[in-house]
Amino acid sequence: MLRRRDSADPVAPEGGSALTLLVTFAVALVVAYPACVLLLRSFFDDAGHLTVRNWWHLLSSTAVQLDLARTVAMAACAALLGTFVGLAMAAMSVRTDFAGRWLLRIAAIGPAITSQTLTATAWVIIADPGNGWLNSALRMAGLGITADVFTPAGLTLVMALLCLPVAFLIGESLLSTADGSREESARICGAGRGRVWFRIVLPLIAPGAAALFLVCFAQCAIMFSAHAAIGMPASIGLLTTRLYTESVLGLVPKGQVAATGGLLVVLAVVALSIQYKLAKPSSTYAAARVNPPARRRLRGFEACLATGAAFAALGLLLVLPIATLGVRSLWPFGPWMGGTPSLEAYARVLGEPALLRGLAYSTCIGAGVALLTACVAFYAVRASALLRHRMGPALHGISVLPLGLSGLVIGSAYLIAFAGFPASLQDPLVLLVFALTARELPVAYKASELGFAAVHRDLVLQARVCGAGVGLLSRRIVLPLVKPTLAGGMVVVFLAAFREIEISSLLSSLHRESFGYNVFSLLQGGRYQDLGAMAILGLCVCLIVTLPLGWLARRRSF
Amino acid sequence: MKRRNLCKLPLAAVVTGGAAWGLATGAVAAPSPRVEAASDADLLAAARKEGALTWYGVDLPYNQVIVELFKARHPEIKLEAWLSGGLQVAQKFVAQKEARQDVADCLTAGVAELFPEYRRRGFLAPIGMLPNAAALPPWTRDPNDCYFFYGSFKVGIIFNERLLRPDEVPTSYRELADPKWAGRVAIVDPSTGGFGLPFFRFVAAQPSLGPGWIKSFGSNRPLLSFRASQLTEAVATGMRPIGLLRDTEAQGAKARGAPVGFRIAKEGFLLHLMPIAISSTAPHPNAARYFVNWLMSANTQKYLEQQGVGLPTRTSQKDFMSSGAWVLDIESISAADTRDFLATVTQSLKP
Repeated sequence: MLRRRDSADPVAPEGGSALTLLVTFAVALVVAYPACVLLLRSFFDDAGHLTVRNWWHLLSSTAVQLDLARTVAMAACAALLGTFVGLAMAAMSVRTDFAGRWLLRIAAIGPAITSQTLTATAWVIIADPGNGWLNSALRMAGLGITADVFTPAGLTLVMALLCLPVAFLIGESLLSTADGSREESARICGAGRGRVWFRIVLPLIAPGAAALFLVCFAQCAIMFSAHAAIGMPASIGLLTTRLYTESVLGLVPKGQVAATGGLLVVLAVVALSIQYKLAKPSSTYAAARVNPPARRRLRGFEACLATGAAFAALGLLLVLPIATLGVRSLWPFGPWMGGTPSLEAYARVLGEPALLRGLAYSTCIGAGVALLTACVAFYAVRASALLRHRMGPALHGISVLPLGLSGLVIGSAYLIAFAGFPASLQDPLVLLVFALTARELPVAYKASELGFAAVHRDLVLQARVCGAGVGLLSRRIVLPLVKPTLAGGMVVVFLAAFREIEISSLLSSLHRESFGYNVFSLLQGGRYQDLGAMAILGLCVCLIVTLPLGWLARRRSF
Repeated sequence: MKRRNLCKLPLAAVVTGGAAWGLATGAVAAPSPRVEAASDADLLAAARKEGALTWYGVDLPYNQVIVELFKARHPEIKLEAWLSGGLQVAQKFVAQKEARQDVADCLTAGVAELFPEYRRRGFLAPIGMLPNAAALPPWTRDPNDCYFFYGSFKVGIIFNERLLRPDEVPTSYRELADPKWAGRVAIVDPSTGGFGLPFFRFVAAQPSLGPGWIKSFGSNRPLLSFRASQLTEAVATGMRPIGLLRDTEAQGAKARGAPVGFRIAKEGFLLHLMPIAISSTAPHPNAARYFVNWLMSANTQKYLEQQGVGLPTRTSQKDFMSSGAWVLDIESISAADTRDFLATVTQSLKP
C-alpha cells in the first residue's frame, strides 16, 4: 500500500515505508484524531446516545444563524480589505525599487511578531469612543468625528490589519513568481503600464489572489484574539465567541459545544477546499522556471511618495500599536487620569512567578513546536508524494486543514479527545505541544513544500550516480536547499506558538501557564498596565529568538 | 547493502524517552485519609501533616486579603491560590474532574448557580460536619451542606469622579436606559462574568425595571467586560464614566488611587454571594477542611468584616431578611433555566 508512486524517485529513503507510516500516524494523531473525536462527539448526547439533535438545535437556532451570517460577512469584508492592501503592498515591494522598500516589508510583516490579542488591545486603547487616544486628539482638535473600534466596522478593520502579514507574504510570492515574459512582450508591443496590469498581470494572478482571499477569510473567521478583545465587549455575536462562552460556561451539553466547533470545522474545510482547487500546489522537484518580472525604479516625486507611504505604513501598522502598549505600561490608569509614569508594571511582571513561568514555558514550547513541526512537515511532504492513490492528497489535506481551524476548536477537541488518556499525557504542557504542533503544521508544511520545490531532480540523480547514499544525499543536497525555507517556517511557527491564546486559554492551568494564557488573563482582568509590560517583554523574547533563525532563512535557494 | 536510516535513531529516542517520561510522571500520589475530626485542633494537626493546599478562586481584593491572612497565620500549610476569573477556574475544575486529575482542594467561583450542579455530579464533599458550620446562619449555608457563602458583596453604580460631577451620577438603574447614557455604561458580560447573570435576574425581578429595561439598556450599547476587574479598569481609566459593579472592586480601585466613587441605586441592591466548596477528590482533604472551617470561624469573619463590603457573614437570618438585599436562590433554578435566561439576556443586549 505504501509503495512509491515513482519507482525511480531518487530521494525516497530505504525503510521509507516505516518512516512514511510513522509520519502519517503522527499527523493523524495530532490533527485528524481530535477533529474526528470532536465531530463524532457532536452526534452523541450526554447519556451517550446517538442523536442528530445537537446539529438540529444548532442549525435551527436563529441566534446561531445570525452569528454564522455575521461571521461570514465580517470575515469576507476583512479578507477582501486585507487581500487588497496586502497585494498592493506586495506589488510595491516586488515590482518597484525605491529607498524605503525595506520599510514596507517590515511594516507588513512586523505585526506578525506581536500577539494578535495585544495588537487588538492596542487598537482598543487607541480607538475607544470614550477615552481612546485618537478620539481624545480629535476632540482636542475640535473635530466632531468619533472613531469607534467597538462596532462591526471597527472589528473588520482590525481583522484586516491582523491578516495583513499573511496577505503580504503570499501576495509577494504570487507576484514574484508570475512569469514576466508576457509583460515584457506586451510592453514591447506598446502597451502602457495600466493596460499591462489590467490585461496581463491581474488575470494571471487572479486565481492565486482568490486563493489568498480564501486563506485570509479562513483566518479572519477564526480570529478569536480580535473577536474576544473587540467583538465580545461590543456584543457582536460570532461563532468563535459562541464556542468560547459555551466551552467555558459549562451550561451547554458537550454534544452541542462539539457541534458548534464542528460548524467551524465545516466552514474551514469548505474555504480551504475551494482554495486548494484555485491554487494547486506545485509538483515536488520541479524547479520554478519563470522569468521574474522587472522592477520599476522609482525616481523623484514618485520615490518620495513611495517612501512616505512606507513610513506611514510602518507607523500605522507596527510603531503605533507597540508604542501604545509601551506608553500604557507606564501609567496605572492611563496618561489622562493622572499619576506619574513608572516601571512598576515591569517589576510586577518580572516578580510574579506565574507570568515569568508563562514567558519561560512559551519560549520552550515555541521552540519545541517549531522543531517538531519542521521535522514532521519535512517527512510529511515526502510521504504525501510517496503515498499512492488518494492517500497522498489525503495526507496533504490533513496537514493543511488546521490552517482554517480555530484554536478554540483544536483546544476543545483536545480536551475531549484526550480525556481518557493516562495522566502524563493530559499534562497541560504536553497537550499544548501537541495542539500547537497541529495548529502550526500547515505553515511548516507549506514552507517544506516550497523548499522541496527548489530541489532539482537532476542534482539528486547526479549525486546518486556518484554513489551518495540516502543520508549523504539528505545531508549534503536536500537539507541545505530546504533549510532556508524550513528556517523561515520555523520562525513563523515559533512566533505563532509563542503568542497563541485560544488553545492556551482552554488547556493552560495553575503552574502550567503560557504567555498567551497570561496575556488573555491580564486582558480579562483589565490589567492593561501589566499587559503593556508583557507586550514589550514578549516582543524582546521574540526578537532574541527569531533574529538568528531569520538570518538563516534569508539565505536563498535556487 | 544495508543502509542505515539515520533519521530512525532520533525518532526512536524520542518515542522511548517519551514513554519513560510518561511512566515516570503517570503515577499519582494517593490523597491522605480524611480525618473525621471533632475539633478544630484535630483538623489543624491533620492539615499540618498534609502541609499544602490548593485553592481555585476568584481574583477579588477580598480573596487576596484571605490569602495573606491565612499565610500569615499558618505558614506551615503552603497555600497555593490560583485566583483568576470565576468561570475560568470553574471550567478548569470541571475539566480536571472529568479527566480524573485531582489538583484543586477548594473551589470558589462567582457563578454560584453552578454549585448545585457540581454537587449533583458528585464533585463536592460535604462540609456540614465541620466544627464551625453549626454556628453559621442559614442564609450562608447550602441546605445540602456542600458549600457555604464566606463573603457577600453589594452591587451598585461605580462612576469616574473626573468625568462626572456628583449631581450628574445617576441614582437609579432606570435612568441608565435613557438614551443620554448611550455608549457611556459598562457592565460585566453575563456570559463570562460571575455576577453579570444574577444582576440581570435581580433586574428582571424588579417591578420598576423588568425585561423591558434590559432591552432599552441593551439599545444603549453598554460595554461588556469579561470580568469585574476589567470593568473596574474601564471606569477608572475613563473608557466609560459609569459601571455596574460590586462594592469590593470599587473599594479596591479607590485604595489603589483610582478616581472612582460608588453608590447603591434606588431600586436596591443585589447581594452577590461568594461560595466555597471542597472537592470530593481533594488531594489534601484535611487541609481543605481546615481552610474552610477556618473561613467559617468567628475570628476570621470578624477580621473580614473590617473590609466593609457586603453583609457580614455572621448577620443573623432576621437581620439579613430585613437588610433589603436581593439574593438569588441558586437552589431553585436549574442549569437549563440558567442557560435559557442567559440566551434571553444575551439577545436583549445585542444592539
